[in-house]
Amino acid sequence: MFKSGSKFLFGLAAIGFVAAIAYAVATSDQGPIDSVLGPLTLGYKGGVGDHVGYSILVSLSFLSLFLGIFLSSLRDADPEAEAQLVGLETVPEAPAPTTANYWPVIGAFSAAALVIGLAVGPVMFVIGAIGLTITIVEWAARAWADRATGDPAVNDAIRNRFMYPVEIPGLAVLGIAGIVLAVSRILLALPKIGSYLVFGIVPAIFLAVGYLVIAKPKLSQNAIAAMLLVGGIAILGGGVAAAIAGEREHGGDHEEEHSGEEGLAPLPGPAELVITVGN
Amino acid sequence: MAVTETPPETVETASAAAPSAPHPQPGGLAAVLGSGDHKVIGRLYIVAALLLGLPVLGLGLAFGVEGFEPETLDVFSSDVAYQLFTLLRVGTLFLLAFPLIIGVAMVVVPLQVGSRSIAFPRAAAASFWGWFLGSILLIASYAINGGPGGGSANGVNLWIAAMGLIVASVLLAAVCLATTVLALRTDGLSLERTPLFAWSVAIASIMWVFTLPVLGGMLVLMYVDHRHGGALALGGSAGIYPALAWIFRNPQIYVLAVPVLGFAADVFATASGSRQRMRGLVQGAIGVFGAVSFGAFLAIPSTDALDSLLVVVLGIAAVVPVLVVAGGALDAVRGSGSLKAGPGVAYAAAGILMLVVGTLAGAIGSIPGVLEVPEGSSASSNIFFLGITHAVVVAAVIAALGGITWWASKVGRGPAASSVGLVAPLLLLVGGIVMTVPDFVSGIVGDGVETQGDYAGGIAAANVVVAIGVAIVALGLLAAAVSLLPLLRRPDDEVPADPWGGQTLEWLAPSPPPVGNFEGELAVVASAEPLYDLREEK
Repeated sequence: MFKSGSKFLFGLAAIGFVAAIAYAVATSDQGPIDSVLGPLTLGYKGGVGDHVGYSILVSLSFLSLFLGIFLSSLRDADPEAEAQLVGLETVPEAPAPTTANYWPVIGAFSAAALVIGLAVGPVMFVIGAIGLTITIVEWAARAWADRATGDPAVNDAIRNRFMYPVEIPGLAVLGIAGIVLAVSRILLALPKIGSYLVFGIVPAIFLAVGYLVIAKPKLSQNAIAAMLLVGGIAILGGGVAAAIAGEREHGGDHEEEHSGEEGLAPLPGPAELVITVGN
Repeated sequence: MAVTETPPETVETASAAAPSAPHPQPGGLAAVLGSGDHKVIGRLYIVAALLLGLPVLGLGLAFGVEGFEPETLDVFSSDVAYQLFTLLRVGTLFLLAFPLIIGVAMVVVPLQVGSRSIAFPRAAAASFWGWFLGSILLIASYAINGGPGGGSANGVNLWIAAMGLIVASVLLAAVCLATTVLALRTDGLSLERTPLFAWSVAIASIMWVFTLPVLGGMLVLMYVDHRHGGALALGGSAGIYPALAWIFRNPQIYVLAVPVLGFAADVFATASGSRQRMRGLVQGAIGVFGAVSFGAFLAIPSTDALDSLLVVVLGIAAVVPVLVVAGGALDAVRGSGSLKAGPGVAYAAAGILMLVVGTLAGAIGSIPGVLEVPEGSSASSNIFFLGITHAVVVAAVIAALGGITWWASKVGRGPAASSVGLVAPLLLLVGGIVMTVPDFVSGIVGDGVETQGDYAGGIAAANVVVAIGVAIVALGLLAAAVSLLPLLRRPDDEVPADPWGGQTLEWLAPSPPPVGNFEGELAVVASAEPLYDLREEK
């Protein structure tokens, strides 16, 4: 049960504790009973002399004890002991990962977003937190599936069966939300006539591409992917550019809004609002 | 059917594919971004550490130049000098030395213990990407006037948070490395038989796991304090660096250098072609050095820890295990009567000599009354301790570069250039000594304070020597980089698996090792030198 690693650590724990007591007694200026009782009771009944040195030695002792117990429970993690534990002749080797897994990178980027958020504001923090949450769920599912069988292809199939019902609707929601947000920014940024045109042209392009895909079943996947990629970049790029440019002047609308406010008593400004608290 | 149940078609596929052909390996960018292969992750660590860390040494050279005439020669304006000084200290440790050591360990340790993978390979990948992005954010924080002493609140917050990400990533890497040594050793490879480099990495990793969370906790406190108006009175942005200074001084700085001992012991035993006669003693000495490097108790600034007799004794005693390992190396050479000299041996000798300088200085500095502490300064602010830090960091960098050279055919595609490789460690050793000894002299007989108003510190004449030392170190690093260039190109001839007549399992793996590391099954290990056993059997 006790192999050399754990025996060494138990020995170190004992030596550390004896040394702590000896050190505490040697550096103590109390009477003989208190100077021994203090270190034995970890300072509860009497002083411990130089408390820094005593603390270091006691920490060494307890840490070694903890590690010794940890190692003895694993029997120094010797392969023979591990094999015996699982009832096999030899313990199975830890396989090398053979497939690409991007979640560590995505997790690191999310953590970086969290770090930026901690410095500059809550938006990046929330993005980072959401990214980390998704990473944890996806990584856990992936790790679970990777151990399902010995064949990576089968493991992929198992993972996809489990995660696609979550991922595909999630991605669809994100995609639709992204397109809606981007198109809305474009519509708000363009002049009135431009927004009418975009409002008409973009759905027409959607319809045309959809018709093309249905009418030409032999259309290569690369062509479809290229069209989607160009369209996606155009919409997202346009949305980002529009968001940076800001909304157009809505002069007429403002007038209408102001005219609707007529007759209402104006609210006081923040500086004019005085709350008096009486006794 | 339950959602977790395997569908029948999947079972059929699995049955048909049971003895399947190897799964195609991802290539191109996927092989970098999505890899869980410990060798790829280790290489990424090494390359990124050299790219991010070496420019930081340029800063060191600039500070050295300013030290020529601190009063008139202002390389840096006083607005940014303190921030750049902290970048130099943090950068050499967390952007260069730590990742270089981790990179070499990530490649070599699983091979040495006969494992086909590192423990938690995806976590190891996450540790690299976390460290890399954290390092970029750390540098970015300085660019927006952040960092310790910075004027931008957001920049200071970013620095603290980025440091937190770096520390968390290093901890993750440490857990992966320690678990690999503790739990993934091949059949017959008990802890006593563990190769000494892998053993030293395990000890270092465990010490990182024990001490770096203290740093992480302090960063959390600092963030809360700085973000919410100094409620904890840690001194605002100017108080950050003094509160973290304990990680840069002895004994804590020694945690970085534990693998130096394992590397030197492994290389000398192999180069001498004999079994390590003092193996038990050397292994114990590495463990003791790890234990005495525990310095987290210095994290409490108000403690009188440095006055404690035990701390003084431990500070002095830290040099003993280093000398034991050096003695073990000499004994291995004496026992066999031969030594295959080469760049690896030169690096090992230079690394351990530099560490002897650092720990010897640490022992001298620990003796009460040797160092004069200027009024109003803490003992740690003496320039003497800057010299110790530099000596230990240079020792760690020498060992890491030595590791890349020694295990070149496992780390890269082929062996390193031997002629330039012999010059590099010599330059690094000489430069390291020239760079650090003046700081020791300044600390004992000079004004003693590490950062004066002009941020030069030390005696001006001694600072000139320091600058020359930094230049020699830079030259040594350049020579090392040149000697490592052949690792990048595919050699014309087949690279031998074991070019040095190695003793441990990594030399059984093909060069460069494939995914899974070893071809075929490994035999049960019967001693600490399994390849030596194999040769004896033949």
